[in-house]
Amino acid sequence: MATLVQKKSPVWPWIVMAIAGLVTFVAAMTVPPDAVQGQLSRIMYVHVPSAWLAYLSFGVTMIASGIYLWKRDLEWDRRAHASAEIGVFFTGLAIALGMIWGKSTWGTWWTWDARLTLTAIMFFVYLGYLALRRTTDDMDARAKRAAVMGILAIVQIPLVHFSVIWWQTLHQPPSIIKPEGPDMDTVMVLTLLTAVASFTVMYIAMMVKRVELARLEDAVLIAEQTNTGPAAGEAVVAPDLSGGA
Amino acid sequence: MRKYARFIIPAGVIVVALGFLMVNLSSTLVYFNTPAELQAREPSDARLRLGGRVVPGSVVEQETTVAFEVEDCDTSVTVIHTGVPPQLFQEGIGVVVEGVWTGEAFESDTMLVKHDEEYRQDSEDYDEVEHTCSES
Amino acid sequence: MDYAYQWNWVMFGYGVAYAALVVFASSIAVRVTRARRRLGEET
Repeated sequence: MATLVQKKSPVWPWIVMAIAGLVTFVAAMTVPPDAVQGQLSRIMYVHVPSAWLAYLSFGVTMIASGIYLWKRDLEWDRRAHASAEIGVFFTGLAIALGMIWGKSTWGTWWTWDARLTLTAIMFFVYLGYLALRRTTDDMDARAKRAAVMGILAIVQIPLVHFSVIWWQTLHQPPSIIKPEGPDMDTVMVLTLLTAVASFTVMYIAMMVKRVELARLEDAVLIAEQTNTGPAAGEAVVAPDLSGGA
Repeated sequence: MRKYARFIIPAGVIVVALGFLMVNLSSTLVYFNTPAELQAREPSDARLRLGGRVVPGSVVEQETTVAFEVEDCDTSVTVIHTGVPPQLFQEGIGVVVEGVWTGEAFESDTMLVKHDEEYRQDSEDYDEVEHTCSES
Repeated sequence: MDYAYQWNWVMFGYGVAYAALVVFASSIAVRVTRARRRLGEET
């Protein structure tokens, strides 16, 4: 259990998050506006990175879930959990920013096209993943159930991303990840890549703090379970924490 | 029991929300008709969506309506829209309009602007032909 | 194309985004502090 609680809570991730946020803001405010959308195109530089982090987070959740099932090391379960929570946050943020961008350019906050509908489904499925984790305090059972869902739920990501190519949608197709190469001026591509890179750095910093939190929550759980003793009836077997960092 | 309850409530909400979204999804995979698809249809009272590019030079504004042509690669349809178009509405931009097909014109009362995935500093740099024709 | 309405939308979007980021980061910080305090009490 001692391995679960770091003596000092690292401060550097907060600083990294702030710098990453600032870099994105400065880049997005200084890039030239699009000829058709005008200043509204600036919303892209925070909407697209948010959507990217949603994909990245859920991808990490899938990989960490797989490694958990292979190694049975709860540290990987905590990483899967941390990444999923961050992913749900950025999915929500991408939807909120998409609504603001949609209202100002399309003329509507929301419409049921394939991209928007599938993104909303992805949001609720991963909320379900977080709810599933609350069904038991037995850490091993919880980790096993969550890992299966963490792997299965990944099929949504290609569905969401390619929905704009496979079906007719109001949402425009991808600007950068497409076969013919980006349909943007170089300065805009570079700005978007800067924003995506900064957000990725922000994700790493968030993961450091969120995994620390997952360890602490597990330590609290273990402390509660050992204090109440076997009479509590459920989940009193000490989980194997030997692999914990 | 406490653990059970704290799962059931969010799970219930999520299942209802997912069910609602699934029902919606089946009817929205084809979000709009192209001008060619619309012309192949019989006139009816059914509400439809039509998507395409506003033909430059075709916009005629009147007191309460805006009339214009919507085209994809080779076909165009006359749209008579009642109401105020979104602020980005202009000649050459993509639109999705909602209304009924009379056989001669599409009478719409709802208009959405459909911008594409191109981003350019100068409007001259847009490659218009390529992206309007790749749609159909 | 330099309309004020467009800047209002941009500022609204960035306001929502950064407020949400601050709230989410704070929620992690608060939960870390709370868990550490509980562990301090229990052990």
